[in-house]
Amino acid sequence: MRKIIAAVGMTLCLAAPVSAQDWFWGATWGLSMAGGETADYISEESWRNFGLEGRKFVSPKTSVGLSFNWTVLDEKTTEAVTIPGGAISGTQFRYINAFPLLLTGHKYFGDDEGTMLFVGAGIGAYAVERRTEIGLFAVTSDTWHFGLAPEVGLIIPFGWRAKGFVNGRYHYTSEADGYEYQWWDIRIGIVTM
Amino acid sequence: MNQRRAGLLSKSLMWVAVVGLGVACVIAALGCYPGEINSVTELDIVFTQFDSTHVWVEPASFYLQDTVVHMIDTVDPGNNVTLSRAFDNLIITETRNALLAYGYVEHTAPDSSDYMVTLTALGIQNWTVDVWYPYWGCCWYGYGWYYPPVYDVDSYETGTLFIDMYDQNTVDSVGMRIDRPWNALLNGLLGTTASLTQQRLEAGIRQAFVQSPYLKPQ
Repeated sequence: MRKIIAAVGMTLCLAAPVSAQDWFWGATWGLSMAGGETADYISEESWRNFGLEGRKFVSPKTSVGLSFNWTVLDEKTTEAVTIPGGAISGTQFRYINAFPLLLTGHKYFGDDEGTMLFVGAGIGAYAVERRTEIGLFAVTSDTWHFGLAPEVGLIIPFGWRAKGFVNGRYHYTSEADGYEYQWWDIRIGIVTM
Repeated sequence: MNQRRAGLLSKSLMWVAVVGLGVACVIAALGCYPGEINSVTELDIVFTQFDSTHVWVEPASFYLQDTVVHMIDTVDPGNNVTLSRAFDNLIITETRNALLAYGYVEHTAPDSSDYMVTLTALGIQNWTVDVWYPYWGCCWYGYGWYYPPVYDVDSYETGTLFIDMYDQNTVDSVGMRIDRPWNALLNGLLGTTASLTQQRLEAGIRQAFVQSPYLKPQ
């Protein structure tokens, strides 16, 4: 974790002097869908996905930056849960609150004044809270993971200095405390650049 | 130049305000734990446990205790809740029907059966204390930097029914031991109407057997 923070800090410190055109700021909202083993726990998609993006252009078509996201996956189910030597049933509320803080890198294609395609990836720390409520009881697991998130997206101009932002990315985390997490994000947002 | 700076500053502030407002709205709307309980029955749970080394053979017979034992907490008697006996017969009947439906044969003499099934109920009052701080910002006048906390004390009553199945072929009268290859626990809030309590008990006992298919002798 300290290494990640140090890497992020180094990147920002080494960035060129700030000017409005060098930076890309954005706020996003989107849809999340669990994948892999995470989908066995929560299969419902969620619109509780909020993110902030900051990117610094180190060349006209390349940026590095930070991405912070808050994703809530949740599901209400009455599915009986099999455990070693038994089973438990009842209405369950299953939650995953994930907070990825990623160092990102992106490459852009297309005209600066028109629609731009970008591809890139984020790498960094994921704080994840997994909580299962059943009956009057709750089980919570708080874990930190290392993870990465490849992504592809579009930046679409629509006037002034604000532009539309659409992207899709896939999060994949390492295992911690017996859990690893995977999910898709499809996000829309507004960016200034 | 100053006008240009002022223009950039106002745009930046507007952007910060828009993002800040968005963040505030999203945080308020989302919450970490969406979803809600729509009925007290959604707080009911059924937990079952079994001995994976036990072999369930056919034909099997059972002796069902003719009384539901109402257990009390002797360590902290103030937390006991007196349970109604109005549902005892229902509990016995539902348990008997579930065992018969799985192919077990009832014996009326305890010693001649393969399994002895006991029923135990427990009512408990639970207490919760929430501590919260009523003010943001500085300061609560008269308290300096100290924010006086507010304590919310709440209580709720829960009932638990235990169904235990003992293997009478493993009685060790010297060591005072007997194997318990299966048990079930039904837990939920007390205080619902008689008809709803009856429905919850019936559903819970049936579910205990549904989620224990290994009980059906092969």
